[in-house]
Order: sequence, then C-alpha cells, then structure tokens
Amino acid sequence: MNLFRFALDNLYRRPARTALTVSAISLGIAAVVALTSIAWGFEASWQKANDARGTDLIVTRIASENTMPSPFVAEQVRPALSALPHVQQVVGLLSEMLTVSEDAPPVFVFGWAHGSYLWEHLKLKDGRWPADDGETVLAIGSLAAEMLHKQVGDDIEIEGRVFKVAGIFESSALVENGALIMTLTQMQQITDKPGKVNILNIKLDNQATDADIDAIKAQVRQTLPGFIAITSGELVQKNAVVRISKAMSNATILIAGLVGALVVFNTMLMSINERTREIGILLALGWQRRTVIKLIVGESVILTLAGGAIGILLGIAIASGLGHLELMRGKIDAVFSLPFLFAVLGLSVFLGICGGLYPAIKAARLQPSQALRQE
Amino acid sequence: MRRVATLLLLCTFAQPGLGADAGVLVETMKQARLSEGFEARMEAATVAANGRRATPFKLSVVGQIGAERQRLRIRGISPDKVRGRYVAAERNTDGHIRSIQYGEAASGSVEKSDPAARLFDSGLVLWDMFGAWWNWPQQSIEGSDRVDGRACTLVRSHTDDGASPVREVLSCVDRDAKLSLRTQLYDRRHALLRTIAVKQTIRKESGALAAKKLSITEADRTATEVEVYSGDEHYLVNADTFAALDSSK
Repeated sequence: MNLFRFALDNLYRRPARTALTVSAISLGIAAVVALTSIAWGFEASWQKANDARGTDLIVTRIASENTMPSPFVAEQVRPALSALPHVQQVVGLLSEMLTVSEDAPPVFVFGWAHGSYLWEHLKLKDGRWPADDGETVLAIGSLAAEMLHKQVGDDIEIEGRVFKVAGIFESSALVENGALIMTLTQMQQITDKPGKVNILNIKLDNQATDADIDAIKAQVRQTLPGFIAITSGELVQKNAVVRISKAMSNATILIAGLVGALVVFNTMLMSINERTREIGILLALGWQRRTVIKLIVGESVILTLAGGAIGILLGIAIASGLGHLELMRGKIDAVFSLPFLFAVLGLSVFLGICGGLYPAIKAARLQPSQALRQE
Repeated sequence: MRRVATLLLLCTFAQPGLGADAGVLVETMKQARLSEGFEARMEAATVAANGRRATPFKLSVVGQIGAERQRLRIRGISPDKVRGRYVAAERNTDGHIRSIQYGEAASGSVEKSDPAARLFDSGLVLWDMFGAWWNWPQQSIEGSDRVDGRACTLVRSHTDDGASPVREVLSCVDRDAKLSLRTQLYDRRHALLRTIAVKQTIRKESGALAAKKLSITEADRTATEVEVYSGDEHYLVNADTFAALDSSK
C-alpha cells in the first residue's frame, strides 16, 4: 500500500470529521473566491467602460474618490485642456445613481455630450439615439431595459421629468448595459447642475505617445490647481468602492487562511491523539520518522486540497448566482482568473502543510514503547 | 503668544449664558454650516404612528448659508403631489425666518407660509433646516452621551423669544465631525416636539462629514426617514433661484 492510499484510508475511517473539516475549509475558500472575483469584476467593469469609450485621459477633481467624482463646472477647465498638444476632443460626462422605478434598484444614469465620441462604441439594438441636446429622450442599456421592463417608446420618469425611450443599446461593459444614457444637457437639467460634469474625457490623436500622456498629466497638475489628469485605470484605482471591496477581499483571504490553518491543525492534532497507538505500531514496525511526518502532512494536504477544490467551485457558483439576483443585476460582473484560482488552490495546500506540520512532528517524536502502552 | 490668543478666544465667547467651551463648540457648528451654495436631493418616507406609510417623495434643497443671510429653496421633485411645488425661506440677522410657497409656473401665486410647518406632510420642517438655535445666546454644555455607539457632547440651546416655535434644543454633537448626531427640539412647555437623528454619514469633498440618512421622530411617534442621494457642495446659485423670495418682499 502506498503512502497516499494509506493517508486516504485514514481520512475515510473518520468520515464525519473529514467531511466537517473539508466543509469548513471549502466555505472559507468559497468566500475568498467569491469576494475577490466580485471585487476584480467591479474594477474591470469600470475600466472596461472607460476603455471602450476610447478615452485616453480623464480630468477630474483631485479629492474625488467616490464612484462618480464630485461635479465641477466644465468650462473652468475645458478651454485649457483643448489647447494642450495632441488633444482631439474634450467631452463632459455627468452621472448619478438614481431610482427610476419603485420595483427596481437604483441605476446609473449618464449624461453624455451629444454627438461626442462617447456614443460611438455602443451598439444600437433597437430604436435610435437622441436627435439633439434638447430632446427629452434617452437610450437604455439592454440589461436596464430588462430590469425596468421597458422598450422603445415607453416612458421613464427620472427626477420628476418624463423621458421617452428612444433606443436600446448593448455595450461591452456591464456598467453601461445596466445604465440609462441621455444627453449631457438633459442630465444637467434634471440634476440641477447646469454646466457641470463629473469628469472630462480626453481623446488624443494617434501620434500621442506615453511620454505625451505623462506631459499632459504634468501640465494639468501645474496649470489647473485642484484638478488631476489620470488614465481610466488610475481613476478606477482611486475609486473608494473599488478600494473597499479590495480591502474586504484581502481581509477575507487573511481570515479564511487563518481559520483554515487552525481547523486543519485542530483536526490533525485530534487525529494524532486518537492514533497514538497506531503510530507507535508503525514506528515499531520500522517506519522512519520522516515517513510518519509525510503521512500526517499528506492527510492534511488531501483535506485542504479537497476543501480548496470544492470551495473554488462553491465560490464561482456564489459569485455567479449573486449576479443574477434582482438586487445585484447589472452591478456584479465577477471575474474569475485561472492564475488566481490556481493560487487559491496553492493557498489550500499551503494551509494543509502549515496546519499539519506540528501534529506530524509531534507524531514522529513519539517513542514506540510509550505509544504502544497508551490505551 | 499662545496664552494671549487663548485669552482673546475666551473673552470673545464670554457672553452671558455662553460657557467658553460651549462658545467654541457653537462657533464651530456655525462655521461648519457656512456655504456659498449647496444643493442636496433627498428622498423622504413617512410612517404614521398607526403604521400607515405615506408615498415616499423626492425633493431638492438649494441653499446659501452666510453669516449675514441664510436662504433655502425647496423644490418637490416627485411624485405628482409634490412635483413643481416650491418653498423658499430666508433668515435674517435678527433671527426672523420668512418663508413663501409657490408653484412651478412663473405667473403662479406666491403665498406666505409658516416656516415651522411640516413640509409635504412629513417630519421635515423648514425652521429646523436653518439650525437657528446655534445663534441663540444661551448655550451650555450638559455633558456627553453616545448615539449609535459614537461619543458626542450634549449642548443645550435655549431662547426666551416668545415668537420662536422652539424654545430649547438639545444637540449631541460629534466634535470631530462637526455634526449633531441627535437633535431634540422642545416647545415652551418643554414638551418634546421631534428628534432628528443621523443614521448614516458621508464624507464630503472637504473631508468633513455630512448626514446621508436621517430619521425624524415626532411627538406623536410619526417617523420620517430621509436619505440624501445626491449633493453638490459647490452649487452655483443662479440669479433666479431666489427670485420669488426676493420679489415677495
């Protein structure tokens, strides 16, 4: 009988304890996988939305850390930005999360400058785009249309004003699919923010290099006090919600790791105590102490590996399932990266080694004569 | 030099009925309220004492809070029963609050209104929004308390002005946040009119905390939950924002 089979048999001999330990580990791992994938998905979704629009740089207020930066008067900075080298377009964006239906959770409502490049990446599925700035119509993402049960021609009341659904679009970014988009002028009117935007999107020409982007960033910092020019990735990194969700997932990894190691440690220690006589016999039969250590650590690694694998599947199921809940639809787009999942499996093995090492050494140090005396 | 400054500070606030510590705290609260222009949109939901829920409504508050003059304009956003209904008020240096109400149409009639009246059948009261009690001369610190686990200093504000709808206010102030976590308003017979409690805060761009969720519990146990869902700390007040108020003088 090889050592692996021997270790497996030992775990089969105590099915209840093995199942409980595997369950505890899998729950911890599932929490790690679900939270981390949601945090990454949230970050990726915003990044994707910004990238899909073709924005090279974003200008916003320095203190802005909320999901949507604080509004400012666009004309305070737009002329200076337009004059910078390589700048093709400077386009304002105003956004808020608003309740538009009693039966649905709040949705993102975007106001985009009419005729700007921001609209170009959206694929119109039905209807048309707003004809001009003055038209009180909007376009809604396919997911938002589904959630709000709206189609082209329907009315949507936003902040006391009725808008007609002119078109339904599809975007590669989940955050846009679940959103409502109207012209910037309309958005400024309904939110009582005339002339204001959350961010200014800058599109550069094809000749712009990374050095040019850095130069623009430096120039904005020097010439426009209180404002900052950043890439979409940097904006997402500054986002308070992204930072909180990342901190939460890191904390979960730490707690789950600690609890997992302690659970394995406890299980293996109890197992060793119960099997003192058995280990004594093995040692008396000529087993090397190294082999006993391998056996015990092997058992704990099998436990954590099984817990890790089940936990990963459970975590994927939880994160995917949450995305289908009515309350979460359009807000969660979990990202599962294969390297991360392998890293989680690696973490499981590491927990097994950590949790099983002391009990294994304790077992290996047993004196056969004393161990055999134990009842 | 520092001693002289401290002495000057103490002398400044050594008004009758105004302890030095209370004076500093009250001044801090007054300063924290100052704004050249702000806008906040909020949703309010009222539950009557018998458990009946009124339809939630949204409103927008635009304000200018200066040392000399304070002005507020409230606009009903939705549903239909509040849409296009405006209430505007100003508080002058003498402490008097004048308020009017009017409709969306520019030609609509402008009527005088009672600043101490409930707004849109909810626990919201225009008078409370001015925080008039911070300007009363009688202020004292009554110890400390905790609101939802947060330590706060109890400040009692009192006025002998017979015209004031509220005679005494007991505020529990989070000194660091410069925010009253719980405000209890009493009438001249010392009967509790309502309690305003901060349920959730949000950090403003300036770093200061502001109330995001509030609960207003009235004497008859009617409760109003208010949630601020949008705000602008640097709102540009237009010339016509307070036009109705100015023209009604």
